[in-house]
Amino acid sequence: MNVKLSLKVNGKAVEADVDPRTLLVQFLRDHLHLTGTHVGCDTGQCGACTIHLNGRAVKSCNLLAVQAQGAEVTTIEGLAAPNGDMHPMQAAFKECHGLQCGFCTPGMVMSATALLKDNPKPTEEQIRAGLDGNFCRCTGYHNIVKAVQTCAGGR
Amino acid sequence: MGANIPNGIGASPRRKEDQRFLTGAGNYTDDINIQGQTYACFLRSPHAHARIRKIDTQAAAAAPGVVAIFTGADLAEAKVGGLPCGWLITDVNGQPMKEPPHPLLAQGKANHVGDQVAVVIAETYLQAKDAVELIEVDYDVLDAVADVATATQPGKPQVHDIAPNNTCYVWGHGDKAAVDKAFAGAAHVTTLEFRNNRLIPNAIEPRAAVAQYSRSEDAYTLHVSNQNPHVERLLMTAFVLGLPEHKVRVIAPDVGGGFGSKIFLYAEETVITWAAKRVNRPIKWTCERSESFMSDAHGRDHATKAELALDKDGKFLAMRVNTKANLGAYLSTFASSVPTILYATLLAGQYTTPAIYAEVTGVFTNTVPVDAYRGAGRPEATFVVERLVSKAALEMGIDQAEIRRRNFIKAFPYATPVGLTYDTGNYEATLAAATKIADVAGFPARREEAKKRGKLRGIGYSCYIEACGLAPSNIAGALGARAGLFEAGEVRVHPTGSVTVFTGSHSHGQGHETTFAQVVAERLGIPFESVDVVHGDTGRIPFGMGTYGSRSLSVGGTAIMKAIDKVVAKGKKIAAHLLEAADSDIVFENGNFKVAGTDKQVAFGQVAFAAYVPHNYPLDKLEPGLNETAFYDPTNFTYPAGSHICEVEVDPETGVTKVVNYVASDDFGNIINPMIVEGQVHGGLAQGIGQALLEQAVYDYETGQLLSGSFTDYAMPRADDVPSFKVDTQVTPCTHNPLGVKGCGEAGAIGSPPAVISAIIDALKDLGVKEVPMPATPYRVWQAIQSARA
Amino acid sequence: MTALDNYIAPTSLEQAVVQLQELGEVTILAGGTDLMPQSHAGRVKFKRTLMNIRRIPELRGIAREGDEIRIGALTTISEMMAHPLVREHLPLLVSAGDHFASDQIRNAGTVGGNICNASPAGDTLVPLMVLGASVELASKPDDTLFRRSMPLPEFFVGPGKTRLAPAELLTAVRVPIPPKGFVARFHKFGTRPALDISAISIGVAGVLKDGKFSQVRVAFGAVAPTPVCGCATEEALEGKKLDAATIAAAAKAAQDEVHPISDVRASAWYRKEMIHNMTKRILEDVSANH
Repeated sequence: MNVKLSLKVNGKAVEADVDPRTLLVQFLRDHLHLTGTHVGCDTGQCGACTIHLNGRAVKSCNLLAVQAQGAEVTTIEGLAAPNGDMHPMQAAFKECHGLQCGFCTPGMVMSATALLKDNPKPTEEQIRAGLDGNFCRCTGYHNIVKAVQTCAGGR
Repeated sequence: MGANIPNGIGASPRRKEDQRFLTGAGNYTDDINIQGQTYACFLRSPHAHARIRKIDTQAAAAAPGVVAIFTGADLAEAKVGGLPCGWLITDVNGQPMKEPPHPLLAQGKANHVGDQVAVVIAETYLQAKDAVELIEVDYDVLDAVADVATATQPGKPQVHDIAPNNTCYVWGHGDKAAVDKAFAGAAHVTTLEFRNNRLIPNAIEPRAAVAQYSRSEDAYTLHVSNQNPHVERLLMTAFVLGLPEHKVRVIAPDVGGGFGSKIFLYAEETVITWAAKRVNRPIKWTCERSESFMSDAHGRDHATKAELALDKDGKFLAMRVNTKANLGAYLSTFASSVPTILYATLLAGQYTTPAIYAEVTGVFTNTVPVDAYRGAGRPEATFVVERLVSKAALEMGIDQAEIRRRNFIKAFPYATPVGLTYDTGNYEATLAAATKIADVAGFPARREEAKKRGKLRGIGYSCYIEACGLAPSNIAGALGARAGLFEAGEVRVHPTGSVTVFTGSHSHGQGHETTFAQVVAERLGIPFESVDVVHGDTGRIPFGMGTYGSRSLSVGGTAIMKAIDKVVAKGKKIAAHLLEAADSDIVFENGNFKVAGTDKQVAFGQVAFAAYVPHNYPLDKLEPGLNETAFYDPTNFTYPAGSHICEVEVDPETGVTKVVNYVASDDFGNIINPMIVEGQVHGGLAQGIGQALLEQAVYDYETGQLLSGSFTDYAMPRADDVPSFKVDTQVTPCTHNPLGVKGCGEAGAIGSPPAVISAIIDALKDLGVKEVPMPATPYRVWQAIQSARA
Repeated sequence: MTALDNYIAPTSLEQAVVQLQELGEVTILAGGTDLMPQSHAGRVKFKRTLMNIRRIPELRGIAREGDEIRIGALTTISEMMAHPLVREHLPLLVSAGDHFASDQIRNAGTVGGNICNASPAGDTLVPLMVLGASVELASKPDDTLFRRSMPLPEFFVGPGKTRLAPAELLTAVRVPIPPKGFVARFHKFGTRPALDISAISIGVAGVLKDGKFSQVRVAFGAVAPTPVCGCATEEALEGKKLDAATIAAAAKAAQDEVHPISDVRASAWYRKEMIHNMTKRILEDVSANH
């Protein structure tokens, strides 16, 4: 049995018939082909699948697609300006070398943007605490923290 | 060296690869979908050791969407081989190591929790997963062995009949007699007994593969999350599936981290490649994280006893090391070499210790295979050396820096007693820099201040060395390597003067698309933007040995340099023709071919154009085109080295340890992109600090069950577990490659664990604590404090 | 994972409890942050019907009702932490929320879900217990909507087990507005600051008046199959001045009354020691700052 789903993804209205067991991340990746949102674990720990649901960071592997009924979803693909200019956080990650293999990056950037929304001028400690739902195995977090600081400073 | 052009060598242009990664346009294996693809899910053994009496797939085969089910019997019938091991170790008695079969799907016996027993291929992944649950396996559960320290004792369960006492090899290295003699006359002997904890690499991208077979071409294409696609193809075709190598194309697209764990040829991608022809459909397999924990090769897991003999002044006289190394249930691709060749050869460290002997027992257990993980053997060696040195200094009342300085190698080249010849280095320079940056002079005051807050502060040193750029094929071959260790590069100049570089190195976070482009742009005097780097595709790249052991720039980069040399040499001949001068009068400078001593010149782009539009061209002497390939086999390893100083604070009421300051001064030779080098160091440090404080793969030694099989129980370092780092570089260029580079990818993970542990011990020394195990979790630090107090 | 027979998303409490009564085998979906990983790992099997309760307005919102603050079951941890009523009257829930997993989980996970999961390590449970919270339950066994409430400690039976009846829905948690002089502390001690299922947690609350500590409530997480009250510790503190002797006696009582297990993360002995040291630290902090 399928459920009719309608929501907004990256500003566009989306309608689909989905199996109610479909995870939101599967819906984004498999149905909408938005493969920028990644899956790095199956216990809700790594944060690679972080997206914005109604403006708040959530882990899309932890939610069923039906939970996004009527919601506004933003993924990494929807973060840049329509003309392709990177979001200041994306630009800061590039400037500060806040990414290496790139796999955790979309989730990390989505978490980081949400973090600054709640707290525009975070301390280093607050940044580190705010990102503790996202694993990165490459950067040692040093340059990710720097990127968030740079982005916060540039506002 | 200095940048002759913007974004050349020594500059830090922002990375070319970042645009796609930051906008969600990366192309990782799981992002690839092929028309008509099916999905594979593996049935894995829930038991560490069990005979398989019967596998009943009837119910599963009838489940919705199931396309096919294969078991070990199907593979045996099709005469599919097992996974090979790439390095032969010869034991102390001159016998080759024991090499038990490593089947793709269990043949009659499962040997670790997670061992593949069967595969279901179905229309959707959920259907495959549902059907896996319907396969009924009749197991005869056997006693298991998991603890490396005791697995070789008589009477223990045997993993493989051909390896009595679970011993793969007993391997010796160094001059035992000289060591024994030196110990007999020593003024002081420091002894250390410890476990190097077992780690799980946990690249954030789980392993994944998509295999397809084309009937029209009778050829296979495999997309796989892998660090060395050519090696993957060679091993898979020649040793396992018996396929013609040229009929298989292996593509490693964007790869989300490797750290060693994606070097190896694994069963899963091999099975689906084979099965893709059987079912005549593409097959996709993506590892779930819970499966990764029990199927990705683990790292480290040593039980070691080590001794250092010193004279009365703290000069090192000899070192004796005895290690039992867990190899897991089967020999993974490079498993045998990691605790031997990559370990014992590094035991000299930065010191002039004249005599060293190491004996290593490779041990089979009912655990996941253990193989190379960031640093691979060298972190283990560094931990032995640096903990011995720190402990000896403490025991003899010598300052930590001073005991190191007294024993530093100062003249190069230096031949160690364990078989390596260090070409160059300046250990004093990195130690001096680290000491200054860490403000060691101010440490006593910081310790006092911490005490007022109820915290115990300690400082720890680590002066590591590593051997990178693996390395001369002839030497590796003599040591048992079953493959060459060169690299290939192709520089394809296009008619308009832009360049595509094809490299056998593979980037999975290292930024080769940027660094290699810097090198090429600098050498050819063309814009950085005009150079693209292609990697990770056997269909496009001449050959490659891939990326591991911090070898990409020193070996892969040098192969590109050699190809550039050929491009320039041919370009000179073309330019000579165009300028009507003798070949020998042409010099190449800043992107222009010039007649020496004149102002006559042609630009690189003009020469490229002439090569492809050879209207005015020496066709009688020279082929058209400007496209050169080179293979490079180094003459020696490279020897990055450095000094790390760590400060920690321990809460004595809880055992919680916080790294409050971390300084790394490293010598990586010349540096192409300082920003990327720093990033590599940061990442390595977090993994090393993770090993020291947080990470441990825990097995129940009775049952062989993996107890830390998820991120809930396996503590990965998070942003709030590590500090910001202070990193510095000192430069002594490598003497035997044209770039003068050494490699930087593993240094952080190699240098840091002993620095952290020594810092904790320093913090607790007044309480009488002499040893703290890794990982130094709050619980274990607390235990150490309590037992010292008792 | 077997296919579902039915997916329903009721839009009123009435509708939900009627359907619960009729269908019997129902998996309730609220935030999903615990259900998804649990079902993925095979620890929870989806029942034949999946009921998404997110569209039931009666389960939402935070409001003052008399001397209580009612927190709707669907309130996310983030919403709870940000709400002015909570910040004013129940700051303990704000500081405890900081320990709750990560931002992303706080944004999706609900208070009702955390309570119904009944994990011995559930991060809101210990703070709610020391605040004297009770749960509000609703069902419709016959023609009338039946509501009952239950003090939180009674609600828990074992890991993942509660006194929630099969056709019953947890609609809200009610927390009495604390009296004047009320102080409360929550401390979570894991091997790391966040996200892991906590090794142990301690909540202490009471009224400090004229230097004496009364109406004391103590609770511990992750030391028993359910979050538990620290009755002996409460007794050691009740009506006493928070001097060194009282604190020492209370810490000792805490250490003696908990019976944690040994597991991958820590041994029982260490957990008892930590309960002692943390209880002491919390009480010293209360004493020093009031």
